[in-house]
Amino acid sequence: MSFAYMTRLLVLAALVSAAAHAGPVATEPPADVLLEAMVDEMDRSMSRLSFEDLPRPYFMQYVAEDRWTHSISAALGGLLDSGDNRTRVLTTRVRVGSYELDNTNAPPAYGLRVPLPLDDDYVAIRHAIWRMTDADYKRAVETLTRKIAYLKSTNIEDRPDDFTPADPVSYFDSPAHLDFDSKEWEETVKKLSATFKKHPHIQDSVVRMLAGTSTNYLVNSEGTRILVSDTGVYLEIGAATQAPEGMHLSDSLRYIGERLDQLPSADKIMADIDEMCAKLDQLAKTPKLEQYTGPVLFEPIAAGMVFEALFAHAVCARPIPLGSGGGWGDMSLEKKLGLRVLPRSFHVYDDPGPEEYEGTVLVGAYKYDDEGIPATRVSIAEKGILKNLVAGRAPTKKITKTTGHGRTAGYGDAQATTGCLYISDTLAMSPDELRQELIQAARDEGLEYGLRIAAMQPGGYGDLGPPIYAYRVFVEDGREELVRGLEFLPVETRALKRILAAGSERKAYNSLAGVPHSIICPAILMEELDLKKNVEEFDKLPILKSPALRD
Amino acid sequence: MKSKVVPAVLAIALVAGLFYSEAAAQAKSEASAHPLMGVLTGELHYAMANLVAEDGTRPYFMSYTVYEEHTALLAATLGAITRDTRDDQRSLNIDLRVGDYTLDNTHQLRGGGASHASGSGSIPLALDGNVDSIRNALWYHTDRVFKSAVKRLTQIKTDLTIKVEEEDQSDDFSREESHVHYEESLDTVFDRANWADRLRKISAIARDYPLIYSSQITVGTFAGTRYMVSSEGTRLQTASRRYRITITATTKAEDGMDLDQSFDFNAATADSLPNDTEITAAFQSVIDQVLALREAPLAEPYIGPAILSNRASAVFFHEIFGHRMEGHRQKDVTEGQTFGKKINKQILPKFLDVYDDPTMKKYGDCDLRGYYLFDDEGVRAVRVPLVESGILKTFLMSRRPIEHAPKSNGHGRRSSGNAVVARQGNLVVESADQVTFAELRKLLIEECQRQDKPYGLYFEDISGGFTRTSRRGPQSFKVNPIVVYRVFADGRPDELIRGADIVGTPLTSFEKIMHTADDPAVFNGSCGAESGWLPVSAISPSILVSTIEIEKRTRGQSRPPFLEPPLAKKQ
Repeated sequence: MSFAYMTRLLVLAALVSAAAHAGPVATEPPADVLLEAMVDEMDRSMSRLSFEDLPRPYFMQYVAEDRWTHSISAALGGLLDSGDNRTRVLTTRVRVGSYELDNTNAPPAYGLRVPLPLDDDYVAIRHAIWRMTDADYKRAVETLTRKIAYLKSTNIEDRPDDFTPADPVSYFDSPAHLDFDSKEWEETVKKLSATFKKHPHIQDSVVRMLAGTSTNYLVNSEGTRILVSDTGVYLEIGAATQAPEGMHLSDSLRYIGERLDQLPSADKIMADIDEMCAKLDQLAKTPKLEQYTGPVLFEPIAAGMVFEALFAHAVCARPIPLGSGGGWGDMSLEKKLGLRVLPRSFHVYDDPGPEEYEGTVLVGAYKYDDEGIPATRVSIAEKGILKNLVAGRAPTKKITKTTGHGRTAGYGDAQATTGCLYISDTLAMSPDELRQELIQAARDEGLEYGLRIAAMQPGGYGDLGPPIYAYRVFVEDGREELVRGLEFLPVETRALKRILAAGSERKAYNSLAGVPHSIICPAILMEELDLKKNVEEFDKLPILKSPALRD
Repeated sequence: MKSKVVPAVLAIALVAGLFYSEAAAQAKSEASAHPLMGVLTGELHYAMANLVAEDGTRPYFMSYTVYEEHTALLAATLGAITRDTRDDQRSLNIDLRVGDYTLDNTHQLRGGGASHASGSGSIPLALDGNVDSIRNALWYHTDRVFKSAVKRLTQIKTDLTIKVEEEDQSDDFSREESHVHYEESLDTVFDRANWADRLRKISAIARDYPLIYSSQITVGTFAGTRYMVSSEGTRLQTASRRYRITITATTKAEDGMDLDQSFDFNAATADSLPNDTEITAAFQSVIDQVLALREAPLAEPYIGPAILSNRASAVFFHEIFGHRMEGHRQKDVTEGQTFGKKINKQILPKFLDVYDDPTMKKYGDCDLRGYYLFDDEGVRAVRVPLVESGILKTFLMSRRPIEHAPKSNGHGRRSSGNAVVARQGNLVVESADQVTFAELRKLLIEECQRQDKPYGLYFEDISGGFTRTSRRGPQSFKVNPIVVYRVFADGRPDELIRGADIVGTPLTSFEKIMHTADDPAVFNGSCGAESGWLPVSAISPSILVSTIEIEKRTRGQSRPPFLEPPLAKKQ
């Protein structure tokens, strides 16, 4: 793969939703042209938008995202790209009908999005809001009509309401500001990328930086007025190479902060790059495994990825969209409320409040969700028993109250999503004890070695990503050996019940896939997982000598 | 900047059957050659000398093309800036061929896999000229492109064995003279702040028009330099600059039909851009036209005589005629090949000549967007007489030969990231049967009377359209006229109508051209096809056709906005 092609969209979403910053907070709305235009047009639309006998809106929400970002990328000391971008995007959501039955939770499950003028021009902004509101209202009426017709012909057992009322909120951050010297950072990014010159075995590399500010406005017809400002900084460094037989190997480093001074020093990053390259180099020389079935020890960040793939999505209370055949319901743990889903010593809660965990910025932290609801701490599992789910304003059969977890990646309606998931084990062990547990578990199975995953790629719903650094830990003498070439077979959420042990040290894993979220997780030892050979065919090694090896 | 150049002649000598003009390249090279050219040349030589697959396959041709593009765009609506972007990039395209000129990896596959070779894609390259970074990207992607070329050639050879013999037995790549030519690299010249103020002021006019539901004025600038080196000795460094101002306004008729009107200014230099008075007048005229359309009666299905204005006719020729003159379409087995067997046959009325000449920089005072000296395969562009006295003479050719045209005529074009195909540059329609526009109107009315029609149509403006050249589905086209009038045979004043779409089949449309006016005009546009979006121009006089068919446009079913637009300033 070529890192230079990597999309920056993924990162943009993360920046904006990164932890709400703590600045001076006012309860009176500031003099802000965009906010005024949003409020005025909403007031007018709520009181006057109707036509003949068409239903009137009972609820409306406008979200405006005002962003400025600067992105820089470089490879081997050469600047590939540097430029800034300013956008203002409005998302409207008009609801007709009632809280019990409205035009949502049926396709199309998204509001309308439109770019707004960048100038603070009241008339031009309001005009754009007017057009989108009109279009969204017409669409809402059509959708509700279709939905009512569908419900008349279909029998749905215990259909929950479509929406829940909420108390209005007022919250106003002062505008975000980031002192960003683009010329200076171009030099830094170039310098960082030039580190790869020392590593001629790395075939392709890129350093990409993103810095920006965002101001999010949320206004609804219940009276909520929120203005949240934020800054974000993101640095990603990717490297790719091939093993002697051709297998593609890649790794990346990511640094996330709210302010520029939260990034490590250039020297530290260059040392990290050297380390990554050395590890990739070592990996290329390691033996390939054909297959493995047995106990697997995941180090904390990898363990966070396991919980992301098997648990985080399943503890979100999301209504089953009409006409979907209930597919989502199979993934959800809602039907297991009150039952044990984790080992008896495990506790899990979600709390989007704290902005850092032991010095790591949490991308899943926020003050208000994308439905204007204050975030709350939710106890999800106690002593392994599932107690509650995180929820948004769309009720499900069992969960009827929002916990302030209704969030969206920018497109699509807000839906329940974890913010910062904290996982702990009251029987936590030291790293050494955990390793011994792994060895013992392997011995119990009559295996020659157990597997320890130090790093892996993020996976998807129900799928673990492929390991990057996997070690076999030999039963005989406890020695470790790096291996490669394996990937996980599909795993079910219930495998988490058979976690054998967990560590005492926890780390925060920040995920930028979809809605940014964080998982604070200890190392975990899973009783049994299956891995198989990942690829059968390899591209040949380059025919030409790379320029670095040629001179 | 350093670059390592292996002894060129030695390296190339390993490849069979090339005529090589590196000596000429060096003799002509000038001080203005960008250092990037040296880096590209060095890596190209190294790759040509050393790329060899396990079975001994080597490239017989390679070229590196770097598109350096600086763009800026500003847009305003109702007095406020809505978009403000600037983009600077360099992207590399690698063209690499294995096999030989008669059969190579770009040959069309007739079954399984992508039918056409996709090219290397667009590869980001260091903007600051960093040699290490650029060389690594060249190396890494050259290797990748070579391997996929070798794989594809194997598939093609199998394909040829198991499929029926091909109808068109022409070669895959034509041999062409290579050129050495250097122009100075360009950067953007754009006074952003000044333009922002001007656009705010002019776009604010629309605040006085509550029925204009959306409007925008956009100014865009492009400054590009293309660096190209090939294993045949091509060394080209060519530059182009263009500006475009686009004005749009939309509304909705009471019956739900969406109506829009647009206008654009094109210029090759900042000096030849219009002043505020001219832009304001154009915006006002777009607003007036779209509001007039709102009140206009609906078009009825109609078959009868019509005049296409010069600019409308230029669009018509570009879409319906020009795309069918693109040489590769005559060879592609999935194409309809409308004119494939018509060489030296009458396809247009005797009084018409059509040629495409990318080397024309201007037509009268008007800068032409389709201007270039060398195409994207490094071939010098020439004027191509497509039709002489109504007789089809040849096609627009890239280096992919077809049965009747073994050589390129400098029309192989692409935007970065796409594989080259034959495209139009400046398409010119010339007529030996010219009358004044007033006379053409008289002839229209006479034709109405002869056909016993109460009215004929006058197409004043056409926004664009599409044409289907594929073998699957009917050979047809549809163009979207925006401003259409009924011209009554009994002398009543002309009547604007809305919602008319021209439909038809290409071959018959051209036979029906009766006369032309003496008023050639330029349509400057952007043309999208398989090799990307490209600037083009078309020039034609107004034409009278004996029959044209229009159908009613499908219209949006949603009502006009329920609430009046909020155009008042907040107190």
